[in-house]
Amino acid sequence: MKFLIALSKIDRRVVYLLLALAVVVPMIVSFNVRFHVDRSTRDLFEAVDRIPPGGQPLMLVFDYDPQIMPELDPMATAILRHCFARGIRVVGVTTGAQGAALGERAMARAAAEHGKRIGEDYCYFGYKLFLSMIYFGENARRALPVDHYGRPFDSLPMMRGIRNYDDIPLVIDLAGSSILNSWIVYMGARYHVRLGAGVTAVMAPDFYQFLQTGQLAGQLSGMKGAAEYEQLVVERGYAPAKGLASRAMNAISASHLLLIALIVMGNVGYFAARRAKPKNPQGGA
Amino acid sequence: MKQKLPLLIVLVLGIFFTIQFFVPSRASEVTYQTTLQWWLVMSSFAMVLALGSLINHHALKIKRRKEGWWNSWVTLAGIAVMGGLGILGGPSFRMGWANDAYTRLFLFVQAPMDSAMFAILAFYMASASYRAFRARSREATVLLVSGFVVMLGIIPFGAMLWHRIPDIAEWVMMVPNMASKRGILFGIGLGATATALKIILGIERSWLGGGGK
Repeated sequence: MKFLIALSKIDRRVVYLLLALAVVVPMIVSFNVRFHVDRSTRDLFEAVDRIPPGGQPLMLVFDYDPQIMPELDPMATAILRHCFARGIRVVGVTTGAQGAALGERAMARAAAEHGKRIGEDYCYFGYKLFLSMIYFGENARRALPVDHYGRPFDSLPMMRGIRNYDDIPLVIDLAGSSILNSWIVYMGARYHVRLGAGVTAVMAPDFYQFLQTGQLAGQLSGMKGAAEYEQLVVERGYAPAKGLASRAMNAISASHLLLIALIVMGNVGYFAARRAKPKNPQGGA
Repeated sequence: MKQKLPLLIVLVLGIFFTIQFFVPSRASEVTYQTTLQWWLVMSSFAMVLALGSLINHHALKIKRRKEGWWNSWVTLAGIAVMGGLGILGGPSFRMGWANDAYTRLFLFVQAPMDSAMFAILAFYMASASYRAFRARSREATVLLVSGFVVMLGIIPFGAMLWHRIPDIAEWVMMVPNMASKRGILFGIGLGATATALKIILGIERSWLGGGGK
């Protein structure tokens, strides 16, 4: 009985150590696991896949900062690999100052992998005020007069013919804050923009209602969403191997299993302690 | 006048833009476009104001030797270095070395620090859920069971255990979870509409400063 009670009193340093091991070991010892793909991930993948190659560009919005980069960066990479492998043009932008360098890095890496050229296959506009992105719905050229590197809008061949959101078949907002709500309210409601989203696992339930109403074409939820997207990209032959999210998902699986085990142990200890407690025959406190 | 003018602006613009959203005429569109440009300019001024206010706050803290005043030096140095490099490396000056230094500082100093701070949360959450997640009552047991199902549904191990677990997890999130969420959202929506109306009509004045007096 003492052993069972001790299960609910594990020192927090032991918990920390176990969690650290559960995260680090699966990142080093890689194993390939197949994921169950959620409908929201599949919907987003299909929405991207339906964009004709070499035509109107997809807009990818890097609305995240370094704190949540581990969850959202793999999403950006997976989506960019999908687009570039399929020949879909991409316009990158961010409405958060901290997302500018992260977006630039993600786009440059994916473009280099697929031999894509800036200005022709992809454009990066860096940090723009959210208001500029609202104004994009009225006049794209005036909302984004120069790209991240100072090149005028008109000098970018792939931006010719882009007037406003009517010429963008899909906007995917990778968001780590409630800014996604503003995209849905302003761009979705006013300009009827077709929106997709990538959000952290914690935020995901806040946007399920928009999936149900069709205001979001699809959604990637946390690392799991990124890993599922990577799996679809590989299954459809757009990439030879899965990426970082799938490896990180192993770490998340191990840490979740550890958490489940800890909670079970805690409850076993709790009930053992309750059973061992001497009962007061008078029923008083 | 100091109070009446802002109230009048809010009243007129509030009513105008509520109506404008539903009026698809050329004049209304042009007004909206012009206003958007004004907002863009005002937002830039707001950024300058915010920066000035931040510098002022930390400069005062250093001057008055308030608790933790030395941390303000770090903030001011951060603003000076990153701001300076950002300006020099930006479209106005285009100094390659400054842009490179800015990107490196951001990606290799700020990004790892931010990520590490956020990652620490996982340890506290693990410890807290181990200590607090107990089946003490019927409600707590329901929470515990649904939490278990959702956690198992997220990881591949859940599907290995039983192929229906991910579907059950999705159902938990999409049906009971959404039912309660929708109720909360309706409440928030109605509350936001009521507050907006109160601000437009000048009933709610705390945004003017001075605690609404």
